[in-house]
Amino acid sequence: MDLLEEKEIIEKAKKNPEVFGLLYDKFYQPIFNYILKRTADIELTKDLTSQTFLKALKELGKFRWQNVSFSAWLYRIATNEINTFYRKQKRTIQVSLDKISEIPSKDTPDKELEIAEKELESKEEFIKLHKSISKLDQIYQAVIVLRFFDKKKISEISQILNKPEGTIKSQIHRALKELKKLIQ
Amino acid sequence: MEKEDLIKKLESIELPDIKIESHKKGLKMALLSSDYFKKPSFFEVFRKSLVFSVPALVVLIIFSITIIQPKFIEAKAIGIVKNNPEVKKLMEENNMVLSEVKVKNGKAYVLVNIQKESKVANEKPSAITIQKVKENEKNDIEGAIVEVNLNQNKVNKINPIRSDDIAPLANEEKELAREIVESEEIVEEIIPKEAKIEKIQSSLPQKIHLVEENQEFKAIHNPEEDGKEARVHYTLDGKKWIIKVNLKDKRVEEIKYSPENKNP
Repeated sequence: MDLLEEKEIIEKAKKNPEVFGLLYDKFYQPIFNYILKRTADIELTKDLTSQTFLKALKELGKFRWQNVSFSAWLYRIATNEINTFYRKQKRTIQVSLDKISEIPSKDTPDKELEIAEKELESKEEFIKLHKSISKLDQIYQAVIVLRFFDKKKISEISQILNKPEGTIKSQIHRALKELKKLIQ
Repeated sequence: MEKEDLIKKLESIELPDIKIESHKKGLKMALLSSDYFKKPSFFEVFRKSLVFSVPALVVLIIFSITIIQPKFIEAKAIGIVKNNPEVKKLMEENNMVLSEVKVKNGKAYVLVNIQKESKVANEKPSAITIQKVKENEKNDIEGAIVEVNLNQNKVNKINPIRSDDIAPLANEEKELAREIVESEEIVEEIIPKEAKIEKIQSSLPQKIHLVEENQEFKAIHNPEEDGKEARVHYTLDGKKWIIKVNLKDKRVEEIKYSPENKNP
């Protein structure tokens, strides 16, 4: 799907649930994975992913193509949701139930969750590194995950975080410096 | 650890690859069945349209109450006054016009005023006008307040406005008027020496206005702003002359003579 197609699909998705479903299918996993790499917590990832798509649906009508791709827009919402969560330090997310019938969160079959937990635990090196990363400022955590785990270009990170590329470069530099100190 | 080593470590680390299909499906269903995609019912459309139409209707009602309705009532009162034969006669005989309308408690108060040219500051004084008094012309009346009953569509009463009632002249002002008249050459030429001053009345140089007082309206005049005028009435053997004097500029403005006089 090139940018022109994506633009057309988004306009249709504003009115047509089936077309929105196509966008959801395309972006669900990358957003879920990004949040997981930021939180290293499966339940929290499920909640924040739900929150991200719920907000995206609510704001979809306002989405305009202004040098920000739909993908970057979704990542920006996800980043804001993560930051808000950690700022409030609340484990329970307040979801407005008036607009949506049900947000799946605790309804994952036990077996599926067990497999997921095992998969996460098996990535010991990631868990260990995440512990250090989680001690960084939120903005440094975001640039590290986006740049080195999600392999995003500087221009993409600049779109997601709505900051100039030069700022992103210097934040990556400072984030690495801080992380190096924490690991040592 | 060097920066490059850290970057290498970050880039090569094995990341968790977790897929929770039940969450993905459940979230999708919840999103697609949300209110966002529901087509609004007739009542919702009606309710939303009310949000816009009710304020517009309120604005329209306020506009009609505050702007349109008073103008309509004023126009109705003017119509009643214009069709009243007594008022018509008064206006024609005294060169009067309708100048102001006020509405209060189901009544309208229409001010009928002598037509006067507005005076411009520093205007060069014009020549003295000499003219015959019109038949039935009431020289002591400045205008009238016509009270209209809006419910019965009729004129209740016509209250004449006399300049002496609104702005009476002080004795000094009367004396000043006499001096101005007596020192004017044209007056000396026109009025015989035997003619006597019958009375000196006040005259208003500018239009009068309506003000509310005790639930009714009365006419007022601002002498500080507009200055004062006087009418000096001369009489001799049934003949009459009325001389209008501008007390502010200290000059004679107009000489009127009664129809009995063949010449001024």
